[in-house]
Amino acid sequence: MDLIKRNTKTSYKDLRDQDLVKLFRRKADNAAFNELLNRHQTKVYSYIHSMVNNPETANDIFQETFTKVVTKMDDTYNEQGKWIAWVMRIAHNATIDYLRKQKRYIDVNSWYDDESSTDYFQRLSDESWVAADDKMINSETNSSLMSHIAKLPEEQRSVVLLRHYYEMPFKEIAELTNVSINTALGRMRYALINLRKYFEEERQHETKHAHK
Amino acid sequence: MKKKDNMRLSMHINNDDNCIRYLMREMDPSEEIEFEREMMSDENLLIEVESLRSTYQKMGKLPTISAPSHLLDKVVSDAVEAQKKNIRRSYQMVGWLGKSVAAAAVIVLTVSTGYYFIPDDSTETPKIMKAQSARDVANIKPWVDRNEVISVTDRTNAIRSQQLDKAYNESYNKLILVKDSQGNSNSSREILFTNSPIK
Repeated sequence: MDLIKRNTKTSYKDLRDQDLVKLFRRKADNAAFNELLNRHQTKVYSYIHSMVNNPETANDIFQETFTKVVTKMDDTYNEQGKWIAWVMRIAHNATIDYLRKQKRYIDVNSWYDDESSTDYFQRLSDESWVAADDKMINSETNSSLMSHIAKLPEEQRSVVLLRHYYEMPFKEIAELTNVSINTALGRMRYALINLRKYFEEERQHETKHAHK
Repeated sequence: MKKKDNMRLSMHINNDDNCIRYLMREMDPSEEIEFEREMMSDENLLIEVESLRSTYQKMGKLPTISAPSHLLDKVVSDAVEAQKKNIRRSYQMVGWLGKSVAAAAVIVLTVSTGYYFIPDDSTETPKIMKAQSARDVANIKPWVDRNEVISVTDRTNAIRSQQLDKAYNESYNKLILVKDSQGNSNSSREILFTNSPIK
């Protein structure tokens, strides 16, 4: 009750996540949930989008994530813990479930278009991403970075993106992905080594084309 | 304590993984100094760390992507609607639980009160139990105090002795045969077992 009384005097923007969650749980407060979503949606959506590389699928998983957030909030969310870390766990599990159900990992090479000499991500910047109201900068660097990230094995990609979008400590990444901290660190290292290799191949490819 | 934990952790982590911990700033200051000293003495390690750093810095260009606004609106409205239902359901649950407890209390009270007040009715006894009781009664051989083992008398005071004999005979006349040797814990049956007539 104190929180609600206090809330009339202060803005939702000044409230902590925990307080907003309390308001939402007790009163189904629209503005409180809106504020929570505004604070964290970019990270959640970016992670899902970067993992599945498809805007429509990302939309579905994003929606599924928040449906689960509401249904599980009373049972599994401990208000002492970080809300976003808990949401992130749900988003990660939903994404991994989707990828495993598909029983295939995104194979960017198979989307290579001979006619335009472009891959999925290079075409994506002009089509789906813009249509999906994304705010990404449409540069070649981003496209190639995203395509390289997409080429990484799912486990490595997941560690890279969790670290990048959530600045999650490796201890938490290890817990979230059910591996030891050494394995999580190792996956990050192999991810960077692979990315370095992809960038190098790209550079060689460009140099070859420039000479022609 | 935390420092000790980190030292212990770094002992279990090989140098390759320490490169990542160093780059991601997951080492404590003393570990960092130690690792930097190691890099200064090992050129290959230094090259490896700088190479990984350069790749990691490219990750900074990863785009942040906002969810479409129509999706956000839908997520908010669905969430609020679902939470309203949850709250309503929890109120209903509390009401239902209260009613259930009240109903259970009434049932328990009624049954226990009824059991206490219902008189012993032989019609409630199963027939097989009745037959068993009849057989038991037929088999009873009354014990007679022929040797006056139980002697209730006063040999010094004749008047007192007469009073005792009178009381003894009155008590004896009140005794009745046991009708149901299978009796249960019902209070009326317990009285019957005392072999005193029911008043």
